Amino acid sequence: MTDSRDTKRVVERYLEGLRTPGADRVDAKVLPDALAAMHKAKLQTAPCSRFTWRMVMTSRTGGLIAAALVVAVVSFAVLDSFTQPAWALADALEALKDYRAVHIVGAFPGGTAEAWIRGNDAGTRSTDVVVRGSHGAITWTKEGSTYHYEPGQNTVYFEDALTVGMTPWLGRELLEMLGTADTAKVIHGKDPATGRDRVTLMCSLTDVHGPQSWIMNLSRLRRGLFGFSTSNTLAHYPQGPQSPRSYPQKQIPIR
Amino acid sequence: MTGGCRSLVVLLMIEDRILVWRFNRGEPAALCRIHEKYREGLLKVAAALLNDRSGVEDVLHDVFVDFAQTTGRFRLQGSLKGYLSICVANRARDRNRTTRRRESVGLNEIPAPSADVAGPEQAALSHELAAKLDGAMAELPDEQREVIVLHVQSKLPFREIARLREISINTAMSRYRYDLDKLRSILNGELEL
Repeated sequence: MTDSRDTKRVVERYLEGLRTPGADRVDAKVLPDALAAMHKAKLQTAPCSRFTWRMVMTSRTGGLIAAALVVAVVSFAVLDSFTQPAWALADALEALKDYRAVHIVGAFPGGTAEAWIRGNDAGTRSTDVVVRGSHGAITWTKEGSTYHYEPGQNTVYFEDALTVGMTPWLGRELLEMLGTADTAKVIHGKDPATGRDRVTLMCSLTDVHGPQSWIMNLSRLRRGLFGFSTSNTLAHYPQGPQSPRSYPQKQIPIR
Repeated sequence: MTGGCRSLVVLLMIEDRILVWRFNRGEPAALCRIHEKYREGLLKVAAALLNDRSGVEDVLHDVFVDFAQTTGRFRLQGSLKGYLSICVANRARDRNRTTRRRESVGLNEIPAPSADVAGPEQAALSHELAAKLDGAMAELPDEQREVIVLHVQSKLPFREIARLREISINTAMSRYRYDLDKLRSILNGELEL
């Protein structure tokens, strides 16, 4: 054994080969107790909110505030109904349901990126991806590998794995999740430039790179087609996205 | 890949966030899916960190029961896989401490690694080497063994290990290097690949 890479390989094989109990046995031991604990925790949470509601309604001040809020919400709903367009987020979700391929335009610090992505048959994740950056970089997938062309270096990097794509697929579940995030805001209206119906979804997410804020526009182009664009607002990300991890492992110089 | 393209991808790689969201809404199917998705990897982490491997299932059981109790208020920072892996590592460390206490009262000897550990991959390694690695891993202090297992088995980046363990990234990396050096010297002393 000569260097740390050899040692790492041996350790990897050793860890891979560790025998573990069968899935059925583990499921039978873990899941019933975990599900029971989850159910119990849910029951403990529910009385708490009922208690809060009772507190509000038994307090005179709390009752008045609650009544005022109800009036405000009803007024807003009535007034807003005059201006709300027919196309809402629910329609956007419905429109996305049957799509297996999307074209995404994203605006980021230092440029824009366009992506063409095709989903698998089950509609759970993407298979084929092409991402083109505004400065000429192109990333694509082919037969289970990922390639990236960097024009400044005149080099194609590749990795023997799919490292770009959508998991989960852009669809109802993803948008519903984003739409119900604590920080999400949905605005219905018309695109002033094109006059088309538009739904704007603003949300923030925290991932391993830190908090990020996003704006997504879903617009109905015509029956059966929709457009999707996204931009990073950089609200919590003043330095811009961090440099990519050292994923390109091999290089093919282009002559 | 450019920062912009990567951000686009990062936004979309959020399956775990959907699972956590559904888990917090109290959907049992989400908990089952999380368990199914990470079960195998977590079992291997536990098997690699425990001195007594008969407790692998118990560790996973305790981790998932504790996790299930956080439904409705669980807030994910970083990756779910990293979070669960660290929970397993913590449980394994507690269990190792208890085992050591019992041994110091009783047998007063280091537990021999279980003979029933050879899987198909490990069979590819020589039996002698696998046994040597068992011993070498058991000799590493818990906090050092954790870094190598979390990085190699769970594929956690050093940055995330450092954040979850509240140590500096340099400490995490130096522990990893130290582990590899120590394992190499142990293996080289006895056996050549």
